[in-house]
Amino acid sequence: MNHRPARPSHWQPAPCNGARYLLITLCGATLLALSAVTADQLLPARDAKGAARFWIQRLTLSAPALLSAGDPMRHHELAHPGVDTRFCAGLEGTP
Amino acid sequence: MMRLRRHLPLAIWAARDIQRRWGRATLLFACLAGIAFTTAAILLFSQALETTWGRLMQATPNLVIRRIDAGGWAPLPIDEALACAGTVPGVLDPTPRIWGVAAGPQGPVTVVASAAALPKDRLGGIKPPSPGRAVVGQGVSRSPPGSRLELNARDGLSVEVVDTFPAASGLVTHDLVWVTPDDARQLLGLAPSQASDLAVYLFREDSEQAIQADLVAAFPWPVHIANRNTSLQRYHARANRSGGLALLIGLPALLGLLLVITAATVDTMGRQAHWGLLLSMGWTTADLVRLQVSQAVMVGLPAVTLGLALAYTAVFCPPASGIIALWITGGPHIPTLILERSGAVLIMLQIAVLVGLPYLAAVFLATLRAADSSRRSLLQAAPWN
Repeated sequence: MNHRPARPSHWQPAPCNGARYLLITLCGATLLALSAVTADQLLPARDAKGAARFWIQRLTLSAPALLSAGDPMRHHELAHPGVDTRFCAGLEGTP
Repeated sequence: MMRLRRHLPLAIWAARDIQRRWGRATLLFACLAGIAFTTAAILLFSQALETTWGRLMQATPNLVIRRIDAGGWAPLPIDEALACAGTVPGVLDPTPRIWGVAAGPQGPVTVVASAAALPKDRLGGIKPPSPGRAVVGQGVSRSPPGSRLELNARDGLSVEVVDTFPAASGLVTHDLVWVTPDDARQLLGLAPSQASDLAVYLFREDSEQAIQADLVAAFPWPVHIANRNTSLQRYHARANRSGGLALLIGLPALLGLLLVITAATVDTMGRQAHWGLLLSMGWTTADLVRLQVSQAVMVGLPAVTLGLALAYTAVFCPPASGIIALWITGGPHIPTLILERSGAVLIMLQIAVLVGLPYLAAVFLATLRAADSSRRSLLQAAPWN
């Protein structure tokens, strides 16, 4: 037997389609963002062959090139030596 | 699944409530996404850069020995330096380096040459340069291969660009010019038997400090020794200073989070009449709390997720990561910057909790406090009363 009450002819349900679409959109956007980040984490590293490490070893470099050339942080060997030998004449010849 | 279907009508009701006040919801979405993006971009970049820098520095020489005299740096005689370094136990593979900083068309560049013999065939997919030719990094010159490159240091040098380093190695080769040893010596003013300095690898890395005294005693002239650990510590110190500055950028983000929480609490107090109406129609306090938390989750979760995803993209995708690096470090713009991604998920989870949890807690507690009042007092809070 059908126990559902008969709907009057003038009955109109509340307009919920927009709310449903909003809910689906928010859930879909969240899942899409999470999936993209998870997929990127599962993929192999972009520099899987270690190109940066290869060249830093082959050319015997001191530091990555994130800082400008000539910056003391880039070329730490350029940091001025702590002992000023200008006033110690003859020191350069000592062992 | 049945539990989800049971909560679906409430979720749709919450979505309709958001639709009714779409302007406020959009602003809240943008604020939460912005806070998550700003905080995550800074923290992800700092952590990724430190990891990448540390791993690359493990491939650099343990010690670099430079000859000094009364005027500072002096050229190093190769044969004598190799003989002196070879007498120190624990020293592996002393390598003379020919390198220097020269003025290029786009700014200063690092000129390097391999004093050691290289295979004549391709090295890492690139043919080693021949006399008068150079292999350059992506940031040295925007001219196509085959064009001339003018360099100036002690003397001038004009070379033909024959190839560029691979884009994946941009973090290391961005402003590098690889030439032959003879061309480098001409540019830097070195004699044929001289080098810029000597790179030394050690058998035991923890002897880095102790072996320096032996090396200094082994050479007949004064030398200055730079070690890898000191360079790492100086980088950490600079990173801490940068982190402190980045914290100043993050303070407005935290203030914005505080304002979002305050707005959520104030908005809750302004809806008492509406809740009084719902309570009068048979809603319970638990239903109201579920409704408010559902609304907060519907706005907050996608906002924080989107902010974190954008920050992840900005830090780890090469075109955008170079811009972030330029913004935070102030160094050169490296379009092909590739950073290590390890540890990123943990940081993003921490930021999601840091941003989302106070917001949800504020909504939950404010709703619970407001809805706990009597229906009469809630209805009397209406503006028409």
